[in-house]
Amino acid sequence: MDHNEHTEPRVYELGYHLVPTLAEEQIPAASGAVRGMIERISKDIIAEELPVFIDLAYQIVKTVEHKNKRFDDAYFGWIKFEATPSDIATLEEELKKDDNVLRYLVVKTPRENTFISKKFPSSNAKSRDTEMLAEVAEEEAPAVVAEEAVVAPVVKDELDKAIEELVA
Amino acid sequence: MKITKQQCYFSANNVKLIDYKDTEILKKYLNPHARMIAGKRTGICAKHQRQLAQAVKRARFMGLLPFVAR
Repeated sequence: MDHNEHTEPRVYELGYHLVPTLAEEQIPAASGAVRGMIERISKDIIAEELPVFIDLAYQIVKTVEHKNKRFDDAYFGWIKFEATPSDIATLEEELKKDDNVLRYLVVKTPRENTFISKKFPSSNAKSRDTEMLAEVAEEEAPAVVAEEAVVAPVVKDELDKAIEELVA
Repeated sequence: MKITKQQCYFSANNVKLIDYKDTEILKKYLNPHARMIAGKRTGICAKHQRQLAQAVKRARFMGLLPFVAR
């Protein structure tokens, strides 16, 4: 990829997986190393999410010391930062050398937050809402039955009267 | 009968860029085999359908979504 066609600073986002063989305590150090690489090239770190343990959708293979290692899960984190395109090339080289980084992806992105599933109700949030509605409905249901019970005798009386009038 | 025009979900919510990390939203536009659903069927505008395709491919590369399921 030609990184030289555009030279002004841009907003990028680095998403990365750390290998699952690291213990939970080693994660801050490993993600700190990745952050360090970015701090060297960027003045402005806009947003960051520390790596969290996730199940991968498929098995990812990484070659470590001429051996294929297979991973079903990883620690996924991301950092949004501002940098010039030429710096991205150096960042990618460093990431390739880091054995703790299972896979990474650098993308161009706007400065604003692009994560929308929290902002707008997703399918999960919707189902939660409907569950809540169902609970509310259950609470209200007995009251409605009681009301009907009150209404029913009146209707019966009216009916009886009407029948009597008809008979008479 | 009143004809209601379905608007693009992303245009309606004023989305600037579809994020590949948003797997909950991306999954809504995949069929059970994890293939992308065609723009004709999703009702998304062409601009956001292209962004969606890009986001799904990025999510697949990062192991957040499967390339194939079942």
